[in-house]
Amino acid sequence: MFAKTKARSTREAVPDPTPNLRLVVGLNRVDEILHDAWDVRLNQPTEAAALEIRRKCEDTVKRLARETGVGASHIEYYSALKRYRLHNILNRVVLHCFGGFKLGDVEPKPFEDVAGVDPDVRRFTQEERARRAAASSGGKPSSALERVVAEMSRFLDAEDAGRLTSKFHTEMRRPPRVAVLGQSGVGKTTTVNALFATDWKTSAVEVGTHTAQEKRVALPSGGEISMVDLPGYGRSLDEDAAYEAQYREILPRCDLVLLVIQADRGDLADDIEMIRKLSLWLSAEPAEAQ
Amino acid sequence: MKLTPIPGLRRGPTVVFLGKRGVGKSSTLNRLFDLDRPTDAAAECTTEPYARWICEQKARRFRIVDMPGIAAGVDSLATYSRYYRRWLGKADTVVWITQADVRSYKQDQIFFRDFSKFVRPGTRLVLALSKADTQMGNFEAPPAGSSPLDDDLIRRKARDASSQILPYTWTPASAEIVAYSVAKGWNLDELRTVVLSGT
Repeated sequence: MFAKTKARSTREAVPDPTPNLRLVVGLNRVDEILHDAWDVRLNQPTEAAALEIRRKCEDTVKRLARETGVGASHIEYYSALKRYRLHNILNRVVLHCFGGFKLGDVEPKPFEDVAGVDPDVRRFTQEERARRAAASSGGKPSSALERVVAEMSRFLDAEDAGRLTSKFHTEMRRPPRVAVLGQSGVGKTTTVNALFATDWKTSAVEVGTHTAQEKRVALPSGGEISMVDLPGYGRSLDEDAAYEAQYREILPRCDLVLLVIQADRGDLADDIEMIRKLSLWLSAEPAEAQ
Repeated sequence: MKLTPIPGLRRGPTVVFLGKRGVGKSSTLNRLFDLDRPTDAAAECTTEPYARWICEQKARRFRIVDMPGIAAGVDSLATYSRYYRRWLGKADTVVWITQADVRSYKQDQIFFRDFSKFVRPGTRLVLALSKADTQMGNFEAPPAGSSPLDDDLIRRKARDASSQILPYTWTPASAEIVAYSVAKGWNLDELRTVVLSGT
């Protein structure tokens, strides 16, 4: 809940045209838009490249918004392989997820494990993490949400308080289901691995995922997510026809769809078509769809 | 004395460059033929076909055509349809560019399914894999004289692309395939040779 407020306040006050749409679009692989654009020591683009990346992504956001009506607050750019701007993606996920409040303060996989990060930077980051972990030891504090529920229960009569608490615990036991969708080969599985420290298999040439797989992922900060990995679309006419039924069956029951697009590409036809379909499929609440 | 027109002054094969939006059609043409077409990573630059006659050492004359990209949006095929029809009908060689770091070919299939019928019989097809450096095993130091297609990963990519795209074209059995990189300046000579080998 706190993450939600935080994410919102950093944005300019443009109203979201689709506030209830359970969709986040991630523009992956921004490091490949330009050549020799990466500052390895800081693991971020050079200053000039950062501007170019932003310009390219803003153009994509504008085109998607124009063609599908999805608001800019649903779209974020990042690089899964470089673990660049993963926090931004997680913020969007928490903000737009149907049960987003259950996720609390999510942490992506630490960035310093990326190949090529400066050894000095890596050492310092690891030491600093260890120091802070040691300083804050003393058991996991109850979450802000638990405190709010406890506080509210004090003002209710016993029956309502019981109902509130039991509803709260039932909801918390059902982890949000997050589906990852995107064209074949854009880095869906790599994104999940980077975000949630999973170890799913990826491949560069062969199609990695043919059938949907679902897996519960424990988050380092506590809490769980049920990740749904789906086969990609846009590879061939035959495969798209075969996967459509799977999408229709699975996607409406998810709390969030994370749609991954390759940021260095200009062809958005398949993605626009998919987002239009998603807007329909996700119009009912996940509980109703179940 | 009667002047006779020089035969073939405006004659010569036509090479049409096609592919999805953003694969690098204009950048490739700029490097291959020393042109100055506007390119931009973010915005769509080529919204109309650009045709130009090129004459090399008076011996070889051909025309290159830069086309607007396909699949920019859901209705872009309809928007540019008359351009595609017109130029495919004039093409002697079609160069289809696709990014090496991409493995989705549905839009390529749709294009060839719908537009192959406008191609004249005997037209050559060249499949060009752009941005090959993103896929090379060792792209910082390729051995001298090696072609990107020597690399195992890019060879598998090439096989994958042709098996997905070619069945939908007018020439399912034969197409030449080249991998190259404009950013790293790789294999551009080879690409040029293959593209112009029919001229």
